[in-house]
Amino acid sequence: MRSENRRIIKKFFFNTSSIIGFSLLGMFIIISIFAPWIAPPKEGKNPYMMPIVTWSSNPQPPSPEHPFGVAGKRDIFYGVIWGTRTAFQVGIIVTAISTLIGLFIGSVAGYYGKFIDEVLMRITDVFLAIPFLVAALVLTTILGSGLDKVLIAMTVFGWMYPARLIRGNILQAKEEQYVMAAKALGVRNLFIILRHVLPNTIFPVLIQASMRMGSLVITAAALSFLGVGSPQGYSDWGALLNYSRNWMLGGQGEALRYWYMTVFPGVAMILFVLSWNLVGDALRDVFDPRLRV
Amino acid sequence: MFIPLTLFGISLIVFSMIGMLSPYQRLATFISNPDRLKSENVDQLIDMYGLNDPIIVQYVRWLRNLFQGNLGWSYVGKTPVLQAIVQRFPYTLELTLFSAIPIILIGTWMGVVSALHHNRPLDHSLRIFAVIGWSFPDFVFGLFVLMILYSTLGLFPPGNLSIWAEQVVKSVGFKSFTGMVTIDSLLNGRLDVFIDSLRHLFGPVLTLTYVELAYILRITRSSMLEVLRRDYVRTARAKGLDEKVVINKHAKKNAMIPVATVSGQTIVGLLAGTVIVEAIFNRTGLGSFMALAAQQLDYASIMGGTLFFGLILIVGNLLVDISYAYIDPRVRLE
Repeated sequence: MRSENRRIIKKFFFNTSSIIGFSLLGMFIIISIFAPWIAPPKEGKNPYMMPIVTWSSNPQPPSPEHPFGVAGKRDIFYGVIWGTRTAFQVGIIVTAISTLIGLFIGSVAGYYGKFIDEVLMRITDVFLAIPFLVAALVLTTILGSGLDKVLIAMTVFGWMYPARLIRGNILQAKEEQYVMAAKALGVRNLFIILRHVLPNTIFPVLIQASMRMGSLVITAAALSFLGVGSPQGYSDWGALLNYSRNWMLGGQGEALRYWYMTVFPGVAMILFVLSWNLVGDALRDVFDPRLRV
Repeated sequence: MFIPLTLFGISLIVFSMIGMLSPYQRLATFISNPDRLKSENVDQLIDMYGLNDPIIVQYVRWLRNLFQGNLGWSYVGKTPVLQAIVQRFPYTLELTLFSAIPIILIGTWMGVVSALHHNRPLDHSLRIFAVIGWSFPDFVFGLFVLMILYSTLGLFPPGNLSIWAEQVVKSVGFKSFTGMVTIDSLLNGRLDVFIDSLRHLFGPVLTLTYVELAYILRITRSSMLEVLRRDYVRTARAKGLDEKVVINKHAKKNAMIPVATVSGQTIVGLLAGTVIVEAIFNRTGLGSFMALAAQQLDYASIMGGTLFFGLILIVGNLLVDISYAYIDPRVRLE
């Protein structure tokens, strides 16, 4: 056991890509905690709304006053900093709730099998047959604007992936001798699931969750990029990129002058997603030896 | 048996989402002139379209129309929904096919190279290349492509075609065979239109390639590494076979089995996943159609489009499964 611990620690902290992943993630956590100090909001205003700093709708290049420039009348720096909080909220809340729902449905289906399994898995198939982005887009538009609506829409169409994974793992674990032994001893079903089956299937779920974090944040940003979901002026990287869209399509040779509109929020998103992907990779390497190459 | 059941399920889900809208909101999609919504006979109009009926009644009515081949009127497409889908699908299919080729070829090639240089600098740099591509949101990469390749260098414009080429395609002499401009223009002998449509395809194809490549690269790499450790590869080497023969005949062929499945899934995923890229590059495909329909709550289009996407996903995955049995004989024996 001790050498196993040493291996885990070594894998985590002496591997370039996981070091990069964890330090990027740490940086984003610090930014989101200290957002009120890094980009102080105006008194009495909702801090998540980017304040309007100018009345001209033309973008302004970076200046001492607005280090990342101005887009859509709003300060890009402010949006990037507070957008970090939005990204964490989307990623963590959607992942947590959809994983819990998936955990429940997957374990019921996998453990009881037969008819219940058949019905639950057909329902899962139906939900999976609608492309995720399209489904989230439609439901968010119907629910109206607001970050909570985005979260609801993404959860409604996001629980199937953990559900499938858990079901598969449980089907495997069910055949293990320790589960059969517990059954033979007359242990109650619920207790067997909670005490014997789930702990042995939980790591793949956590790995999948950390790997999905990045793609969920991309989808949420894609929704605000398309103009649905978070309200006008809400700090969100996708919404910032939406401001830049028309300027990128604009006149010949002009777009490069507006590089700051795309580059700052874009790089923030790439690094955020990259950090979760690297952390997910590291977790997988450490906890799921079957996948190690 | 299984396919109609799933499609039925999809239609239930979508209809219950639409049921959350008020009759007034749904009426808006029936009326092209917004002034009419302000007039006093709104309630009359709602009654006329049966929007106050119980949602089940409305669903049955929609279902009955569906079986008559009538998916309703698309306000986004300004045509019947079915026609709008049939018109736009070739554009999405074209983009998918043109992207799938580089994704699969470059992805597997890089994966094999990466595995053959396991843990050496080339392997590391290819993995970094892949993990960054994997983390790149498609719309961020698309905006970069537009900013540099189109707006700055003026090379690869967004849209489907240049205006002059659009006119050629719409002219009487131009016969439409597949709806895909690249193929049609070749069949019509219009090389200039062909080149023009390739220029417009370049940006979206480049974006999709870089963003989607990583997954194939990873699968190829790990599958290749696994195969290279197998006994039969060692045997082949031990009996003195040329390294090229070992790699190409013994290792690569077997390593490609999981890659083939993943490639199939990638193609199916592309067909249903071009919403963002089409929206950024102003292409009139099914993806951008769905984005517009969703934003304007054009629910006949949403219903029709979602069902069509569902059909693509189900049939596509079925084909992937079947081809899997064809590629890997071991699956057939089980």
